[in-house]
Amino acid sequence: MPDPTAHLALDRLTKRYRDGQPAAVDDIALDVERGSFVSFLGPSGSGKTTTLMMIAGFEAATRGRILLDGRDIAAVPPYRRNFGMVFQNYALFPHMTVAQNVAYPLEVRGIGRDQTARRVAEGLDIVGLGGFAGRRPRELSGGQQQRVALARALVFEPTLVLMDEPLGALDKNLREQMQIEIKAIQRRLGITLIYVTHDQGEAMSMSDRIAVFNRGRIEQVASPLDLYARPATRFVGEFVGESNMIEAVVAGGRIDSPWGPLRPARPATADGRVLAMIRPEAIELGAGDEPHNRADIVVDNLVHYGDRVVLFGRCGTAPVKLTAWARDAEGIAPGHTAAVRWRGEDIHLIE
Amino acid sequence: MIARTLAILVGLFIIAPMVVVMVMSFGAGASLAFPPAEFTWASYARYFTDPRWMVPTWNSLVIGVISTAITMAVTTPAAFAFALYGFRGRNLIRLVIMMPLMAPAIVMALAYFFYFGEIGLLNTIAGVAVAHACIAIPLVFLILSAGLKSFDWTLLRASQAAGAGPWTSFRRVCFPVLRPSFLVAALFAFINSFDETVIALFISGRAASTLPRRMFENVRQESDPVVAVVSTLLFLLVALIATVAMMRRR
Repeated sequence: MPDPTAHLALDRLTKRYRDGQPAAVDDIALDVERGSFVSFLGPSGSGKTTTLMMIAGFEAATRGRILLDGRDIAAVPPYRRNFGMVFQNYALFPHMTVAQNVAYPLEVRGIGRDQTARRVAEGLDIVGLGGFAGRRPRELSGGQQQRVALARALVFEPTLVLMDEPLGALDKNLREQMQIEIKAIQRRLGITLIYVTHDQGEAMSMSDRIAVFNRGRIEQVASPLDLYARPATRFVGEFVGESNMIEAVVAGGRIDSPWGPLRPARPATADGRVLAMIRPEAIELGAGDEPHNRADIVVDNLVHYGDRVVLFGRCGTAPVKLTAWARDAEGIAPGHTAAVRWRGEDIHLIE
Repeated sequence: MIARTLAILVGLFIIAPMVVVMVMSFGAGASLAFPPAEFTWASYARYFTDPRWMVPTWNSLVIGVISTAITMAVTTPAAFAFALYGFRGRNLIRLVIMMPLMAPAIVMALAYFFYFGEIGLLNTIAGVAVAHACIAIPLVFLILSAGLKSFDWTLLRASQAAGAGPWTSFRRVCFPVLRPSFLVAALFAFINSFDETVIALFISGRAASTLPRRMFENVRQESDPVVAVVSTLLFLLVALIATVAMMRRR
């Protein structure tokens, strides 16, 4: 049941384009708290953008409800929903100046010329484009255009803002800078922000909570730290950060795996098949004292990714793939036997 | 060096007929002569004062405007529909829209002659306007479709997200951005109608005679320099429009 105090709530929301086809968005539920920064994170085709478009009103839901402060807004057309929106390609009106672009939402609402001019100037200041009022979009860089789009989305003081992968087209340094600025503006103005991205680093750094999308469903909604330390599914564990996923079997209090016996700090709740996740930073070089939580891997091949290293080898007869930080894996070469260990606290079971 | 000379020669070859016509327009004799016996504005004066020339000129202008209006009104929704939606029979309908472009003018003229005869549209301004509208549809459809293809539809979404309804969004975002395409399409439709000779010959009759038709009759019957005057004026008009268009592109 949707939380009645939530600013925005998605209730059993479904989008199916054609009968018989799998749903693009499949029966999702989500509560978004007022003033929070929530990211929709997932690969392309996972349904995150479709969900955002339904919230905006550009796609109609096949089933389910979208509640704004408890009210179903399905019947409200997009031009009356009062949400700020920033698109991936900025969508600045090319035939208008920067100031006219930012003024557009105010003019459309019938706000007078003086007040509009004042608020446009304030809006441009907030995004750091004070002197750019007379320029045209084609004269601006990508980052500047993005800021104009942001100013236009905020100028009419919406309480909810939607962003669809707004930083995708920017280079890494500019992106990180914009992330900080967007987060700062969101916090300062206290707006509820829903942010769609496929970049897990981006979602992790900006969000209060992250909804991880996969194939039309939300696999987990949690804070970035919870998502990283305690992923609910294999997909979430692998999508967010690097991971070692070990297929193990629980039987009578013992957990066996191709890597050897595992003893997590938090024991399994039931017998059967289970996935044990160990993050690369938990892997230490060196033989362990205990018979469990350690592995001796005969290395066949290793791949260097700069900050991390992926070992392909065998543990006994079973093939294993180990991801570790490069610093921890110094000196390992094909043909060697790498002895690694980890602590019980660093094993997270996905049942 | 050789390339430039060649280019100049080809250019001269292309405009030579126009130069001949322009020179002939300054003659005053009973028939076309090159070079004319004397150089005078008399034929120009005759063109602007003779109702037998002014009426067809006026008819052509009126037919041009009406047929352009019809074509734009009918083809704009079609171009938008094709750009925005997928629907059954798209390809077949597009083929039908293109057909006037593929049929030879004389075939169309004959068809209109018999068909309009049946429904009483022969020898009327309305009839010629309708026929011209039909043959301009494929042209306008192509031009508008090309313009719509490069149109960023997220602009409409951005406009709606900003609070503007569909009509306001069309008026303030869609149309201004697409205005060049609309203007070019309308211009082509107008020129297409103004220049159109074959169909007009068959269906305009004396009552709704168009300028090209009048010129054709003139060459056949009297062949006086006013024909050259009209040609010159038409050529200069088109050249002027083209030059203005190119300056604005700059």
